[in-house]
Amino acid sequence: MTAKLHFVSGKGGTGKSTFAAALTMALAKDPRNLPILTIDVQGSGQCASLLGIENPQYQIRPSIKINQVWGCKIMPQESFQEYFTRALFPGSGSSMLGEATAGIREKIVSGVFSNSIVKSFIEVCPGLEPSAMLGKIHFECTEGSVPETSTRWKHVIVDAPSTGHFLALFSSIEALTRVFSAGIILRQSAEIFNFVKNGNNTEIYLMTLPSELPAKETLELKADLKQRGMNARHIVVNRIRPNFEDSRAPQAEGSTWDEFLVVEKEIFTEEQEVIADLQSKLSPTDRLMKLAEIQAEPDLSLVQLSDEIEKALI
Amino acid sequence: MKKTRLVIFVGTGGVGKTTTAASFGLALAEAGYKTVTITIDPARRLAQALGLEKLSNEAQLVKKFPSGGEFYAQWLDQKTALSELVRRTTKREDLAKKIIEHRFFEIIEGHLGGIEEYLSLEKLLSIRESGLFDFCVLDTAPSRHALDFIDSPKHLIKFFDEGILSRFVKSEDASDSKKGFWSGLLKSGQEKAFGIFRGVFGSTFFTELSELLNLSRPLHQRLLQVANGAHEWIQSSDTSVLMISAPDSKSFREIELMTIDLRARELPGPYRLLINRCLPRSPVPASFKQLSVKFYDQIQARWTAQNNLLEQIKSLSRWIPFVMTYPVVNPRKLDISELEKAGREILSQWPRVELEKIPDGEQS
Repeated sequence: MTAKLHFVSGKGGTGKSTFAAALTMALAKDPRNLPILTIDVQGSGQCASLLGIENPQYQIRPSIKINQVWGCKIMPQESFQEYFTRALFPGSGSSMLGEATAGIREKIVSGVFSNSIVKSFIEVCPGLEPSAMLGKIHFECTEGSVPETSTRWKHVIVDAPSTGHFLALFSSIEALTRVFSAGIILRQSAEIFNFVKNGNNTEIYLMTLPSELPAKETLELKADLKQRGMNARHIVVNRIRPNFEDSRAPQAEGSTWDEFLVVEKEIFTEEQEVIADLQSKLSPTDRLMKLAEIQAEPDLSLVQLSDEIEKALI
Repeated sequence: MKKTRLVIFVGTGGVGKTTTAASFGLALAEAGYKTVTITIDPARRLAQALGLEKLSNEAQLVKKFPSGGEFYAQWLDQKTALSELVRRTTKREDLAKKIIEHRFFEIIEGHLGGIEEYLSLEKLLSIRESGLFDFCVLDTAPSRHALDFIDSPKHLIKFFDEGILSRFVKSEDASDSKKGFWSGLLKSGQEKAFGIFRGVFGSTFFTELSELLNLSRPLHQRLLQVANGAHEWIQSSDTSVLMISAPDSKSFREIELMTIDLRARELPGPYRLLINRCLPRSPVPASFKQLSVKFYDQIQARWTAQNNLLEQIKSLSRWIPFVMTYPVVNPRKLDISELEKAGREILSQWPRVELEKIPDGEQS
């Protein structure tokens, strides 16, 4: 059994990390979903921090708040080294160097990677870094386990980069499969891409806001992903304003708050129009998740949000 | 020939950055400056308010003021891609075609994720080189990656010129084999290790890559020029940065992270902070509970968050804060006079010394 892979992406500043953390919490409520690994690709480590994984690193670490939730942050250089090592020395006997001992293996790998030329080559070589990062995610889904045990992950949740950088993750690996004429990377890239594309393995959540441009951008991203054979089924509209009816008697509070109410109501109406329009452009199998604006204490709002997500998922 | 001051607007999504950039541009023009606001992707309604119906990559005149100031708006078409740049710089269709149709071109295009940002930078530089404007207001993409455009020439140069790939290209040239990439590795005694590296990639990879790099040599000169010019401008004293935050600490934390990033990129500033769309400062009226409890709670939470942030900012001496009260611009009643009103509010707080026209010859 491979782990279910969840990507959370979308427009910048729409609350991706918070949603990824709340999604993890929502899933963690059912023990059958555990253990869960969260992966932070943006590098800020914000999602892991929200879950109580202190100072997230490339090395997988446990949450101190939630049992059986783990997290890590993936960096291109480390991912590539790991990817490269696995390509050369896969677990089975079909490896390029046969039964290389651990000592030799380490020597070769560190020899290659300590070379500054090789280092900067990896950095600038088109498509390698994103592919290696995707390779790491794929590995955790198919073979990864809780550190020092053989317990496989049930869910892998990825706090992915925003729109353009998210697309680049897939376009680069897709391109690699076409560009590399031979070699181990080609075989691996194809395998990874096929895994990620498969809707049975992967759920994609695109975060957006209830206004014109973010909604438009989200539909464009969804279409771009579809072109690459990926189905982003979940559209998450975040920070939706609550409705209200002003049936009070004429007020004497002064004009600024009254003026505020008028604009607030107009923005509410506009938001509802945008959401209705977005809904009308989705296919019947897509799911639109509507989340309220929550700005209270971070911990509290996370619990609230995970409750909302749990309800929406059922 | 005018010298142009640059004001860069930076902030996360949904804080009214694009609207504010247009407003500020209008207010500058009203005050007598020839101003252009460059925006990446304006909302339909903002474009309508400015009277811009068609997409254009060139600066379009929006309004002339009695003061003599003029306001121009310019859209940056994000869809323009690397291929466009190749066509323009090579000026030879056969060569451009050869590059664009190369098997590796697509992944290079994907890899240089900052290519749109690079093109923004190129446009930006052409504004400066035109010598037509007193002010250029630049609206950036709403994410932490907004800052990529500043780095994009560095990436490109690294890739095309100074980087490891060009060293490698030299080494593929048989006559120069002793100085190149492979020989460097051989000298370091890791030829065996590198043989493995090559095996992993497939044997034709390196040859094809170097072929493409050789083909795209003519691009290098222009890239270098743009990169240096733009970098010099954003790092000069003619440039200031306006960070825009929503009135809550979460949005502000993003701003702080972005600022650290900007400083790391050697943008000297000055850095200003605009807390946009603030609720009224007086306490939320108790009668709001009658509207809906949920609504009241939400407004109360927003108001508290705003007050906490405004307190927090007071103690941060490194910021020159501006606070704009909600509602400056009603998004459903957007028109040019609403925009001007908002712009005036920022301009009234803008330091006088940075409104003086730059004397000729003093710009670096």
